[in-house]
Amino acid sequence: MPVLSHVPNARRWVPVTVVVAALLAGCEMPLALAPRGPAAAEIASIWWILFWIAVPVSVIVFSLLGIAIVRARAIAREQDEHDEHDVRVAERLRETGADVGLPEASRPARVSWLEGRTTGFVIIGGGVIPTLILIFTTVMTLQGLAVFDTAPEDVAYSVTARGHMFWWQFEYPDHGVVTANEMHVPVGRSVRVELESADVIHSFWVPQLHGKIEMIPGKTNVIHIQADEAGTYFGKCAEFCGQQHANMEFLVIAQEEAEFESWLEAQAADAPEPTDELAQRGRDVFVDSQCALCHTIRGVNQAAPGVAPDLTHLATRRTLAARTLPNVRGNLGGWILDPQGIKPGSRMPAVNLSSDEFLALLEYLDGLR
Amino acid sequence: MAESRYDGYGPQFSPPPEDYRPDPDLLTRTWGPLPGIRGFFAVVNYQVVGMRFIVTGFIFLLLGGIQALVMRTQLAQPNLDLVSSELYQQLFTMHGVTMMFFFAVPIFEGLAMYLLPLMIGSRDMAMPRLGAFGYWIYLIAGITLYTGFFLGLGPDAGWFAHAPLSSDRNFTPAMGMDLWVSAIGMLEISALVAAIEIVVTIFKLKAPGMSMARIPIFVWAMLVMAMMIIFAMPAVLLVTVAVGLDRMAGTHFFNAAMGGDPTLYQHVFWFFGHPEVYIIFTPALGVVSAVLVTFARRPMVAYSIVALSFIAMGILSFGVWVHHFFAVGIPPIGLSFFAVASMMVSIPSGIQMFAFIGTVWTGRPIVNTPFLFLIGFVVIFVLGGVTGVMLAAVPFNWQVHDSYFVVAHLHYVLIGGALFPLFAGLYYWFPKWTGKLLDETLGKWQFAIMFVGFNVTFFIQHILGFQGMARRVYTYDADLGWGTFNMVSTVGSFVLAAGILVFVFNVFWSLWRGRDAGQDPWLAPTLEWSVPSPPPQYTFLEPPVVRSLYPLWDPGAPDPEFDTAADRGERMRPQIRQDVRETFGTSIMDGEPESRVNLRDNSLWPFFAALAVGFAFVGSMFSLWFFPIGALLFYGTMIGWHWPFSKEIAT
Repeated sequence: MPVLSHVPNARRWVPVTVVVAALLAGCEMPLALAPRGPAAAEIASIWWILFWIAVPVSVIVFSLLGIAIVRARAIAREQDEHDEHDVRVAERLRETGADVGLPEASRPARVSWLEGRTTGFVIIGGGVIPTLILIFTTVMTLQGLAVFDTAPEDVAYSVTARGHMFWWQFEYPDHGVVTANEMHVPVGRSVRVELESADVIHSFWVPQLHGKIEMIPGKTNVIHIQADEAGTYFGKCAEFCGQQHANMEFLVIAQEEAEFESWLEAQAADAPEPTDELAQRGRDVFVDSQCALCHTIRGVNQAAPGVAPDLTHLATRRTLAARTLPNVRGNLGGWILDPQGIKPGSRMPAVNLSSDEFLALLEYLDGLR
Repeated sequence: MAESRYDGYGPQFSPPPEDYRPDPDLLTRTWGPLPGIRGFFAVVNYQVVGMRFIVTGFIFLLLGGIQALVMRTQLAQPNLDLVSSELYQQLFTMHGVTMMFFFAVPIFEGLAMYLLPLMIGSRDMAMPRLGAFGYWIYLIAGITLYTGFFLGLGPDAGWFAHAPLSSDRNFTPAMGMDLWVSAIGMLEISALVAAIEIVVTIFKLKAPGMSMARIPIFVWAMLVMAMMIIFAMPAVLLVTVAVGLDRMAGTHFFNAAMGGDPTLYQHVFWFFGHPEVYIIFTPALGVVSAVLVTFARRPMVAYSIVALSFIAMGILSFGVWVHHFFAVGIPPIGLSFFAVASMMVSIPSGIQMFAFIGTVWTGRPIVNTPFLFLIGFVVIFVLGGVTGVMLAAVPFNWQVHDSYFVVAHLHYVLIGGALFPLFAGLYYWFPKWTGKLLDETLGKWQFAIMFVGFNVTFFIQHILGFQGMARRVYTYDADLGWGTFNMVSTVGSFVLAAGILVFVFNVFWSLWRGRDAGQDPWLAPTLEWSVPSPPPQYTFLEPPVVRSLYPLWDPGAPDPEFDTAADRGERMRPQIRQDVRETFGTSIMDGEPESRVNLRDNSLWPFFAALAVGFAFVGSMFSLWFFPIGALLFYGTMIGWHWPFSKEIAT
């Protein structure tokens, strides 16, 4: 299979999410603490409060333990030596025939200041103070929940995100757009995202924009996300959903609103007619092969809905197979020929094509802008 | 009350025989095993069964650890191909199942089984055959699970096995999840019978005079653990059966398309799953208390508050299960309730930590290996505790849920909260079990290596979670920038594993060359140190009576003013027969001697009963008909099990 020789290299891909990499390199903070939207910012602010409570609490407990050991050891050492000395002295005196009482009787025991106050120490230190801290964190949590429970007033767009084993479908029902593994949003506008699942439970997670919400079969969860800066954001399925859970990722692309509108418009259109002969042949290959059973190219065919990604504007997407590969022609070819080698366990079967057919199909798909 | 009911010797007691004297030879014959290979399978003695639980559990720890190392190696760098995605999902499922079900719960049950009779002054557990049965079931479950795994049929939907991934053959066509249902089903039975045995033993077989206010904290912890198992395990038994039925019988409990509900699975599973954490953690706290008191050389401070905090923790832990799936889309009122409950459950732990610190503070601590493990426990567990409080803050939970932050948190809680105390306990009781001390220098090395290795492995995973690394991924791309931290974590995991190897070496070395321990090497306060090491099979030459919380530090004396339960027990002691297996039965609260309890003898029937249960569960993977046949076989073995024989009934 010489065609595949490039695939392992392709897995070590660089170009597509340069933006993500640049973000990572550009700021010291990990994704979840570098929020680019109000929801993630709220979460990050909760984290920093919790963090600055956790640090002193841990330090105080460790210090108490350290002090307890050091002080008690000091008393123990002194007391042990004392005892030993007393015993030696007493033995010596006994040998001389003196009447000696127990060595302990002669000296007061040195006790820790905590002796006699232990119940108070335990109740106040372990019960009362933690309760006060927890009341504070509880109130903060409930306030945070209230923030998330309030839907933003100005919801500009609505997206239905549907999790599949192992890819994402994003549908903009008001605009007739269906795409996969790449969600576009306008900068600074609140977007309502309805989360659904086609098979097992998935979880929608864009660390810089929002916490996780699960996608559950038979149920629709709703969140509102907003990106405050243009950019490409890393998204990931967070609930284990099967063999390729690891490679079930996506991108959220935040664009200025005008740019976003034109993207919507372009995506709503049917697939462009192929102009050159090879691409036209490729379209026929697509329609006649098993591809067309699962994949829809609007204007060309209508496959069973929701089985596989809509390919109408495939060439405009940055990645293939849910951010497994950068979308360049070589990878596309490798993916068509050996999906199970690249993403074992994915639902895409290998397609048996002659090399003419394969090249034509590739030409066609690569032109679906 | 006492006067009228127990006038002198009580209803079951008659005046002592004139020629009473403790007879070690007779007791050895009575309590000893059967000869030969039959004896191996028929033995019911708590020491043997308890030690089998401990050793088997430890072997599972090693197996689960090897799986973890393979996973860590796979994740050391981006896009590695050490294991396939298919094998990786079996590995993390097996790691979770092994550590939660086959290591942590059984090994602490083993500790309870071995130590409870010694600590409370009984000659055996209350239902010796049931204990043996529990062990055989556990062994069969483990062998079944690992046979499947080595045949390439390991379960592959995670140890938590969320439906519908686990319950629908379309999503998990391999037999792995059927295997999970069978193995977990058997293990739950094992845990349940052991828990029932522990509760009955603590309630009814305490030495005369050992009221509930005089049982060691360790015994309180085991009691709470067993009670929690009794309430929690049926939930998981229920949910595994439902998964099994969905897979094998075509029901639709969790199939949304047919009106089922996938979130129902999570509710029922985590109703068990959260208490499970405390089922592991509570006995570990019991170990901490026992070791701490001995090496602090002072009584536990605030004994009754600590005992109450165990009970509070046990109860509260049943009210927080939803925090394992805050992200499924739950109305805010529900989220608020479970957030508050999850915050609250940390208060009993706060009490316990301060009680430990207070005990050290007022004590005369000796810093040796077990004590070092206690320090490690406090440090690691407190860090896991503060991240636990963070996770109760729902919006923050949404961000880090199912990420490596949670992986770090749960390992801080479980390794810090259970594994470190376990090693403290193993160093502490090893001399009692074997008569040999574990090597102290190796022990200190082990602690240092494990402590460093653990923190290097897991601390950095908090940050990986923030970077977007989700759990249960078999690989990741280089451009995400997770490579360096993962490498650090992998290196740490091998250091941690080296610490465990030091322990294994230490065990064999000390068995061969260790210093003799004698009866009581630590000058410890509880009853297990009043018998030789290792204890004779009849345990106590004479049934002990108890007059204080720390009987070996403060034995007390008969009370001339007031005829206490201990005094009566002392007078009745000669009544306990030596030619059949007998021990004192006492009242729950006050430890009043009430009866002579006749304990069952060695028998092969528990082994056969376990085989019948194993037949039913393993067979059900292939056909549901195995289940009724297995049940019939099991009833057959029950007849043999309960067949009375003359020596026992002739009293």
